[in-house]
Amino acid sequence: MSALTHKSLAVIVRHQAGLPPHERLGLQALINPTLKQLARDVALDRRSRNFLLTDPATTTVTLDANGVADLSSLVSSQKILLDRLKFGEITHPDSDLPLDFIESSDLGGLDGGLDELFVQCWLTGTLLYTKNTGADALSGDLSLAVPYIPTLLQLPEALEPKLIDMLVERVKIGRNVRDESDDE
Amino acid sequence: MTVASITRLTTQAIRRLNAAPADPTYYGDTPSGNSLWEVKQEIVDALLAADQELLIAIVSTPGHFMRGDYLSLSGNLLHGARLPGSLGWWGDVELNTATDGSGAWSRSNEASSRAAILEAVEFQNDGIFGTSSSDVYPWHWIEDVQIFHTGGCARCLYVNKSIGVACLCPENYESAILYGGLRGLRKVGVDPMFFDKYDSLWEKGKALAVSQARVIPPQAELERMQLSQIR
Repeated sequence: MSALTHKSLAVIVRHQAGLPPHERLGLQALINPTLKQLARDVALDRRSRNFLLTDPATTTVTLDANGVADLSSLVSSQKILLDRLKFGEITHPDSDLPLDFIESSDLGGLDGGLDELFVQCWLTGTLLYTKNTGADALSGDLSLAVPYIPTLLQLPEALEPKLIDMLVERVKIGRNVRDESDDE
Repeated sequence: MTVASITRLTTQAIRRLNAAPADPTYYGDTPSGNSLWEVKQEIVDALLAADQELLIAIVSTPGHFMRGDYLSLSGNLLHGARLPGSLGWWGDVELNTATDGSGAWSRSNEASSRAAILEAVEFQNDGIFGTSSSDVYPWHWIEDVQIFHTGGCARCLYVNKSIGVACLCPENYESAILYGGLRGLRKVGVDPMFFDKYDSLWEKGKALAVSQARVIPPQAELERMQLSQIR
């Protein structure tokens, strides 16, 4: 995990972007939004997405009697990214294979050739619906290894260079915008 | 630092004026009746006034090698507090996490603007700048005569000197004080050339002090110098 703090990261970015010392405080305010963007970008990147998946041992959710799990608490506490859920892995102890994520409820309602092999799931709002291989609704806990927004403390060291690059890029874009408006 | 001697300066000024003043007050004692400068205190006051003017010139010069000797620490200043009146610019700022200054003092960073400090103070616990209020510490901004900062309290170095009974300027500028004092003793009925000379010497001496000369050169050499060369 990263040993960087908001202060130390702002120092690095300030030097890389060639900014004066008094700009450091303002740079700190860019870090959290950039972390969020980084999480979204990394989830789409096949090579680096495994760095930012939640720990399935601690990221669990309980299914109700209808086999539906409400993910809203994981969105707020673990910062999981609902729109990037399909790039992770959701497992259930009854199934050797991860749940098959399908795009929408209408597809989930149709019979499919793989229904007996995979437990299927789809998302509607923050509710994750599951479709068991048999007639009974799936019950128990689901474990999620899915993309999430890390805190700076949770950021893997391997992703630090990417975060720094993104921050420097943001700063440069901001400066260009300012320069252009000065010209007008 | 050894300061200029007011006793020595007074003696020299009396000699140059060819005066024989009474000692020591304006009204309490009988004037001497000798020369136009009958009271010694008048000469002392003119020298101390020149000394103060030279002091202001020194402490108003950023980076002057004597400036550090005149700086003293202010009291504890809360966010938005007025700075103490200072001759010359305020010096370094330190912040303390406690409002009563009971914690450790940290050297403060100068922010980019007053707005940057106000934003940091307003959002210090909202996680925008980091995870806690310590992430926006220690920063400050001085605007006009107020200090804005992200600590519990601040203190700064400032110059707080006023005319007393002794000189404040260093002894290596003593001759400049003499010229300034004599310049201030101009009176009707005295050869104007005499005071014009000290006007000129004073301006050159003060310019040399501001330009951080280590010592004011002898009078003959100073008279040959042009003011434009010094500045």
